[in-house]
Amino acid sequence: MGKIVIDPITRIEGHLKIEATVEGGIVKEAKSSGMLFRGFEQILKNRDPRDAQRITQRICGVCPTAHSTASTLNLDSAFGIADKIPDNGRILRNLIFGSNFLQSHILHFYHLTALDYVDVTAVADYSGKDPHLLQVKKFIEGGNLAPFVPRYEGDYRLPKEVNVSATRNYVEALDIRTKCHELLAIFGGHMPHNMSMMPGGVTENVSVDKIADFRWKLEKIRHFIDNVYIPDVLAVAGVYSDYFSIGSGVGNFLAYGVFEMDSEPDLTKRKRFFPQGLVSAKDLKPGKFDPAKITEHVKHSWFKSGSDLHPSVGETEAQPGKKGAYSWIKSPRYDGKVYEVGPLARQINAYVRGYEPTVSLVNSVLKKFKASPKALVSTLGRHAARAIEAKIVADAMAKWAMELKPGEPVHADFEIPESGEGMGLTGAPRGALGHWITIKNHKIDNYQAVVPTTWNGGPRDDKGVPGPFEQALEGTRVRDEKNPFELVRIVRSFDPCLACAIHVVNPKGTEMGKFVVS
Amino acid sequence: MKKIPILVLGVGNNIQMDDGIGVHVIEEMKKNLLPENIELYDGGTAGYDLLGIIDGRKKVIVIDAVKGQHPPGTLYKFSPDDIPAENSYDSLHQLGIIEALKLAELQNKAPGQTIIIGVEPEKIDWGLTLTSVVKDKIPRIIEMVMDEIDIAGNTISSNISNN
Repeated sequence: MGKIVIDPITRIEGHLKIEATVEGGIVKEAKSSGMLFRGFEQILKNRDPRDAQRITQRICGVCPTAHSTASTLNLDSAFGIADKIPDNGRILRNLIFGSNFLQSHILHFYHLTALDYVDVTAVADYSGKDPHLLQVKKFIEGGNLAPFVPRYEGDYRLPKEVNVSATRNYVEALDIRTKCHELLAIFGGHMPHNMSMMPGGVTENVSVDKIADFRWKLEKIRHFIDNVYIPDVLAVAGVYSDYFSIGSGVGNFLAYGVFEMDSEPDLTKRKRFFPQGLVSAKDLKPGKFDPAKITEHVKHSWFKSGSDLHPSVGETEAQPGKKGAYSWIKSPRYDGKVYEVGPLARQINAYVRGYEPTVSLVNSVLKKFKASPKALVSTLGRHAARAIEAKIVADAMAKWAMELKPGEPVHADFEIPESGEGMGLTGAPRGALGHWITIKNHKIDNYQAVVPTTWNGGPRDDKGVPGPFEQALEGTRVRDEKNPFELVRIVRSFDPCLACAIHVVNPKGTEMGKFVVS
Repeated sequence: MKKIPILVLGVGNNIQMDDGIGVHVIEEMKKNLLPENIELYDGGTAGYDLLGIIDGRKKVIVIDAVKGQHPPGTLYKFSPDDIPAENSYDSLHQLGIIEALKLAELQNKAPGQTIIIGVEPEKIDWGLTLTSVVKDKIPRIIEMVMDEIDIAGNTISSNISNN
């Protein structure tokens, strides 16, 4: 019996540790631990409610736009103006958030996960003239291997020419992501931490010039998604097709819905571009979602707060060293059950409801691999769903931009109520994101956020049922315990991102004395 | 798009007390009039996403909290080449500002020169204020930034005034 510990597992901000106990080559038990206390809720108490929109953006270096969206919807609802958002404001929010989706999905595939499948060393003897590849070759020759290492060895299967082209695309994807940020900044004003979204709408006005600029930049990104990103995902899927049945996990999917299509004040009735709902992989039938059924368990988390509480009355009181606990993440449950969130959850929800273009795109991928819809519930299914989602969102954004009306209002006025409650449900690139607020004496009395990686990466619940990462890992065959490719591929397919709170530079192993300035 | 040649980039999380020193310095510098070849930027909690902000500049001056095992308030000045990229963050795989600079190199768009001005934090915890030992260093940090701008061969107009 062996124990595999992967810490940290994220290629991006965050502190996620996976501990897998392996018996006879099979993962018998997996434990997912968030290693950082995330208690920003405490600093919101007694502040002006509008501050929530600015402050929650700062909790994360990767998804500020998602928190900006969730907190804005939350404040719209608490201020009683959710039905007053003008069309321009609604569309501009979708365009700002959509830009963030595109950069996030491209980042995830190329920069956070591709290196588990693509062998960069294939470029070492490159003899062509592509400037991107020559630069990578120079890096490798200089022994300058970060950010390509550390990595596991022994299961790189792509043909050499695909390794080379995917590495080239890794570099091009950096440029494309910069374009996504520029796209966001046209109506968002600043990246990171956009300044434009606010309760009531946005602050940036619409002009013909800005629409043209937006469309022009978006076209380059769409071209990349259609001609580079999607083909690369399909190429990886072609040679790693066993991952259509590895890392399936819990098979329950939850989506809150994302991208506002009307201004219905009740978020369970509002029309969203990607629908809200539940699906079980068992029958692939759509189920109705009721936000009152969300609770958070804390039996195995380092909190002394009450367990099984709805987020609107949630508590965040730390208890480090609590017996039996192994994570700083709580365990969100829906109706007491475990649910996976993310692009796959959103696209499966769209698929079973017959939403186009999800149905056609998913079917074309399944046909290519001669697979049934159940193959989606897998490590590769998550990557395919993310790529399909990027295409659908980018195509829709091109249409939405043309629905803007220059000169017409972008926001509605509001007053901060003496007291009230709000709920903001949306879909972050990584999955269902919810914010809840209670206002008393015009100030924040309670604020809680339940984020996607809490859903996916949480520990066992009060009944001992493992979370989505844990379930996806348990039962997996590990070929080489020293190179547990299978485990990192499974967990990274969820696009984990955690508690991105601290950004201090910590030059380990470097004596800093010589750099001290008096 | 032509970029302003000198970038002063404050990074860090201003809801994590001293971690946010970079952002506080930018806010302070915004109160002064600066020559137009200098851009001040609040990089906030982004690391990797700042690639498109730093690339193609003549000089980048980064201000951030740095844990260098010296007393709180200690100031450091170094270049990214002084510390290995894979060792720069708490966890092996975090992609922060140092990694973003590496990637700029990969794109052949690395800034002409990069200087990191670091401050040893006293307290990193939920809160919007700096500790006094770190806050008191802001004028000295701004001096250091201005010195770096001078080195870049720019004449700072003598009429920097407090607005």
